[in-house]
Amino acid sequence: MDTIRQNIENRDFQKLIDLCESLEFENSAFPTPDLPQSTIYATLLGAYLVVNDLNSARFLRKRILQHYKVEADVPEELNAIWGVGAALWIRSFAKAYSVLDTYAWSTDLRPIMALLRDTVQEQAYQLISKSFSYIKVTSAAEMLGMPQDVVSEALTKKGWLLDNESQLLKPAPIPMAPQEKISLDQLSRLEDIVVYLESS
Amino acid sequence: MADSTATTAQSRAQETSTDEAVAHVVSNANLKDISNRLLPLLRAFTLTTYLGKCSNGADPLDQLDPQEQSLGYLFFITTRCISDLQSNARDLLRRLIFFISTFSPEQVYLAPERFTLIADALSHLAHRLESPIIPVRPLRTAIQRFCGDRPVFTSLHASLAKYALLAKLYKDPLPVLDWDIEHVDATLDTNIEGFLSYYYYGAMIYIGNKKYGRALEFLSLAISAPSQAVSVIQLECFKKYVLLSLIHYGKLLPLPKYTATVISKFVRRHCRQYISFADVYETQCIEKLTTALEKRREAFEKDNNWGLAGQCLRALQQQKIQGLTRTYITLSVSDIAKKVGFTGENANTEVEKNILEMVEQGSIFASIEHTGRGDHDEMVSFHDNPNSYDTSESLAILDEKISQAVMVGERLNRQDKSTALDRDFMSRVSHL
Repeated sequence: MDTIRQNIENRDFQKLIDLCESLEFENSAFPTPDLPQSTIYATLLGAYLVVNDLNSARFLRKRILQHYKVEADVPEELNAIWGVGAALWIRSFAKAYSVLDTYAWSTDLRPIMALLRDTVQEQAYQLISKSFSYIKVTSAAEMLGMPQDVVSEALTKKGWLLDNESQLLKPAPIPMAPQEKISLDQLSRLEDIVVYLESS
Repeated sequence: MADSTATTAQSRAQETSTDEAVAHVVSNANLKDISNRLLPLLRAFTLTTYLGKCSNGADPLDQLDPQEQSLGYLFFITTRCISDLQSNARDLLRRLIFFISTFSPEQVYLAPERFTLIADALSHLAHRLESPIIPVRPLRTAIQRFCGDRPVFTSLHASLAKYALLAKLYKDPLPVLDWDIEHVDATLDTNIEGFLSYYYYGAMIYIGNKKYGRALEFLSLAISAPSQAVSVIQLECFKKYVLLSLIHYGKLLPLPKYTATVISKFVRRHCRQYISFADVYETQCIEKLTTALEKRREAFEKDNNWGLAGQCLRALQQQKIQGLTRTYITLSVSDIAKKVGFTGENANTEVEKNILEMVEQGSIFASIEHTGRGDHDEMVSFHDNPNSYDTSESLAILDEKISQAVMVGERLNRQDKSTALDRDFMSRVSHL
């Protein structure tokens, strides 16, 4: 349990996923009373969603149903986490935020779910910047999970332009990550290969 | 001579006590003795010998070392996992997992038919402990340790893929599945059914992971496996092959040239529904495809292919949107809906959703422009791919692809040489 917490604190989700995946196996083969299977499931499901691995989350949901046999026996919190996953699966940001904001998450899970909200929001932000030249304030508010009166102010602070009359926002261009130019080493390697291919 | 040793081994085995059996295992320590003397005995011992306890009440598994006496341990542990319902299943599982992570591959190689039983052993324990995920990881380790650095097809491959599917563990078997097999050897207790099942189940795992290209490779390996008669597995493979081929490439790819004629003829006759569905797909008409899909609902559902078939429709929609980007610079959302063939009340929302998804995946470059004057006149502008492929990142990718190609070339060369030296192959060729 401590290692799980530590990985969450370090935000090392790949490690957390590896850990939980092997714990899932260990625990079904040799159950230990101090680490209930539902804790592992909840952490793993949350972690899959944070790294946006919806496919793995979908199959974990199936394993959870298989484990508890009857849907009614699945712990409520596991259903709630999957509620977020299911919303993301059908790309409904609004539904995802509404589950995230209304469910009372347990103390252990709260940090993951808070982080999940941030990542979903960031994902939506990137998506809007990439694929909209103008977007309605209402749509932006829905995709970012923010109240309408807050969203314009928050976004104009980030360099977006607001047209007050039409209530449209123009996203700021995403700063391109500085890309490394081709190094001489790489070029000469490529040259070697081309010469080799031509000669053979 | 070999026969008479086998019969004497058998008659001696009938009165072998568990004590004696353990003594035989312990006394044959080097590989030659194990293979010549111990193995015939182990194969002849009866169930009572394997299930019994030592005369001092000790568990024979405690008397043996899984690493030093791997072969003997393998016979004891597999028999016990499968036939012994008295012992503690968790205890057996713990021992079996430990055995899998420590056994000596060269000893286990001597009795491939026993190695096969590891799958049954794990499946029995999983059943007793009511947890379907138990067999998957141990099977993966067993295969990896058995193969070492040679990509051999083992008798456990098919079981790994099957139990992974049953347990809904789609990630765990990938390290084995991603490793292309180079050797198929019938002396390792493998058979054609295992081979076909492995590629069929493996393809389903890749489909679950949405790696359609790789799934198609697996399916075509199964379909094109040399055969004199058609297997049901190959028939099912072909059905999925048709649908996946449409989803991934937008058309029905021809089967590999070396596919047995009996198979290509047979599938053409027995998968008419699928082939005609592909014909409809190639007309690129959403409306026709929707009707064709509905018409075949029963057949597809019966084959468990309804979900995949539905994805064909989605694939065609996206393919058509992608086609528009080549002709138009700007279009309104409702124009796109009309041109692609989205109908119904939600047509515009569907278009927007699809475009967002495609932009996110990087399959098109577009921006949506809300106009604020109503709900129905959003505009979409299409752009060219902004990547000019002149960064060190693109070159690194190119570099990796080249090294991959070189490696495949080397492997092919090696295979070519060993085939040319193969006696059966030579005699066949000289007869032609």
